[in-house]
Amino acid sequence: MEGSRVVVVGGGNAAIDTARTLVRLGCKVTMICLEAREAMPAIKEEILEAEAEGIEIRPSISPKRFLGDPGGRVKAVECIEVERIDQRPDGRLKPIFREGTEFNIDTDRIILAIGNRSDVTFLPSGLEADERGLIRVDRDTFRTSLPQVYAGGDLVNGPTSVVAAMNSGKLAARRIVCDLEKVTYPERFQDLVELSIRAEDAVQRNRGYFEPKPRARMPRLPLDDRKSFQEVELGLSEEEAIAEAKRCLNCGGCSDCRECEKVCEAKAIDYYQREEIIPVTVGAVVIATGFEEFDPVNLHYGYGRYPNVVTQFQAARMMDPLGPTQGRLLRPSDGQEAKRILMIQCVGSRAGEQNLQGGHPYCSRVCCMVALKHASLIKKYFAEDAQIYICNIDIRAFGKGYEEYYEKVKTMGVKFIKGLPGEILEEKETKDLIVHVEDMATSTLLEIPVDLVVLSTATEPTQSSDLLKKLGVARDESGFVKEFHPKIRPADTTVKNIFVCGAAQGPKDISDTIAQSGLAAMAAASYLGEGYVLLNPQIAEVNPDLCRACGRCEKECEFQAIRVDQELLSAAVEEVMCEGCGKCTVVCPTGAVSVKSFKEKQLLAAIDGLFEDLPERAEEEMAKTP
Amino acid sequence: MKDANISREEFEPIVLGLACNWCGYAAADQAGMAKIQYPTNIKLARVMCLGTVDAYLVMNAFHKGFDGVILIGCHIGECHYVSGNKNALLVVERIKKILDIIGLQGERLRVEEVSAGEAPKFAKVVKEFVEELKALGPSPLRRTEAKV
Repeated sequence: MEGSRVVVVGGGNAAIDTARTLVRLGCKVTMICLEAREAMPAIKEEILEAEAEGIEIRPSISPKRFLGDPGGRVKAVECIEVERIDQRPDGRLKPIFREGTEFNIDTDRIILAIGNRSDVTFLPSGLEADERGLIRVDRDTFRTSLPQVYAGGDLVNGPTSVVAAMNSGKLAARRIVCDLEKVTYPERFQDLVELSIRAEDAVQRNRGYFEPKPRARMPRLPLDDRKSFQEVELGLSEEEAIAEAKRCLNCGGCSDCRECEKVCEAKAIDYYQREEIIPVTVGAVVIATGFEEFDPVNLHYGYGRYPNVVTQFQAARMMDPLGPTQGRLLRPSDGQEAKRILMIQCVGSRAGEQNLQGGHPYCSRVCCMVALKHASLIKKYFAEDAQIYICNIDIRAFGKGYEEYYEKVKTMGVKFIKGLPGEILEEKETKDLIVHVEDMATSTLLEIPVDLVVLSTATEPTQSSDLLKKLGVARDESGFVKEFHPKIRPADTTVKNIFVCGAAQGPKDISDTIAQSGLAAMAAASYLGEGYVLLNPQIAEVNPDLCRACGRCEKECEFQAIRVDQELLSAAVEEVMCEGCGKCTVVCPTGAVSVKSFKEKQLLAAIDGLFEDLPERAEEEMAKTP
Repeated sequence: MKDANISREEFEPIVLGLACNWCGYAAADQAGMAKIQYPTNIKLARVMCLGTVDAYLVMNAFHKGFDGVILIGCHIGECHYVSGNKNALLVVERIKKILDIIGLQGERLRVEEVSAGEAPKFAKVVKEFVEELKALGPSPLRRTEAKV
């Protein structure tokens, strides 16, 4: 073999494989194929590697004749140039040759690698074929024209790869199961359908989170070393492999390995559990959706830019012995213990009516006590010699024992600065923070270097506005659920059977939340347990003859007390909910809605009377009556 | 109905006050109980919410001959029925424009936010409105002379 010349006929991966093997056996290889270079079915990389290994590739060439010597041995291939390849009506390809361009390639061997064709001779008649002679199947169900006969793989798609054939087989098998069990594909294989939806969804949602990285470059055996059949692709190193694995978007989430199921002693994992939407009919709802933390990233305190600026919530997490730092208050930049700490109050609160810097006008109530608590904890359990400053507008220690607590914290040596910092700068090397603040009590401008700045951030209503919209409860300007009356009925909402408690109604601490929750529970229970509801006599009523179901009243009502009934094609009043305000009467274009015992003509008559209410006229009227 | 033949000096405006049950009317009640003096030019009618006041009511009052109409109700954000007073503000805006166009002077219509505890403010607001109407003169639709 060594030194012999071989012509390989074909442009696909089999031809390339053949050529690269021959080269390693010491042959001189020329590949010829009908297809133009761009149309060669072989993998592009393989074509480049083949050429790099010294294989001559001549596309757009067709063998015309094989020439031999009188002994019957091959001598040369007579070739002709291919002008173009046309497609016949039946799908088959027809090459068009360039007349007069014949030439010879001398060779010792010829190897044909022009592809395979399925043997269809054994198949029963009645099995419909397509133009290419392949079995015709339904693309989704893999059914052929014969009942209970399915087909897939090369027989259907033409010659492709083993992997494609296995894929085809698996898909067909699932369809067969569906047909045998007489169920639809989404019913039987719901988890697979969901998996592909989940994967697509995860890819879309995480687009912005992952940094696009190119694939790792596979190291290859240098060309000089490619004399033997040693693997050309050498494989990635451990670091490269880990980096490549990190590119995975993990779109499937769970990899369905079911190890958790095997390991759980309580048998708590149900692999086939599905999301269920359970309709529950109730007579009352209590909103207890709590609060969220204000994000201080847009303020001038450097949160998000300087690593050593954190919030009270993050500090609390660090001080938790079961937390991420095992209960040590550390600087995020270098993991060192924070000894000099400065807290800033009212971050995102008390921002005035203009909502300065995206803050809120209200006071978040709890942050002063949180700061005092954290300062006290740091002094008592972490670093007795810690230097702690609390920058504030005022300290609000409003509850039982709170003022006494404040005094105690003062005696621990915590410094209270009456003023909020105007600027915080970071020291490049140490990442220490220099806080510039004016102490209004002494009218001095201070520059305080600290290890850690802790922001006392505002509490905001949870962004569950979708839920609140669906419930139809009114909210105040800051987004908290609006209580029916702030003093007398703080746990009621504008909707009679929906109650609210806790931070969802306004910032508050644990004791107040517990108190209000008890109230909400009691209000809901007594509403339900009463057995009857007292109706306001002055409520809206609809004249269905005048109503044209435009829905304006429904839109206007704050109490969900009037709705358009689609069957009656008229608005109808939910008497229990109506408060009798009369807004619906004003927006109704036909005057179909009116308020019982408070009709417009009553009001007009009253106004008339008021106008006539003049002393002389009264005398006149009185004179008339006998 | 006789033609109004009122001299500027003797003119006493007749004012319709539409006060909401929870704030405006309650404030008027408080003012009365606290014996706070306010002009008798104002004739108070109680509505449950200023949101119930529509254009017809107001225009009807002017047609009747009132020199001025004032809506007194809850502060924005504190409406007993959540947003009725917001609607009232919009209605008043629109009607003022119409009044200007038809020559009835938009200044004859006003809306004021007075909560139930603000009795002195109620009195102040009424006094100011009556003074302004005195300067404006009688409504062109006024048909009666009146001593209020």
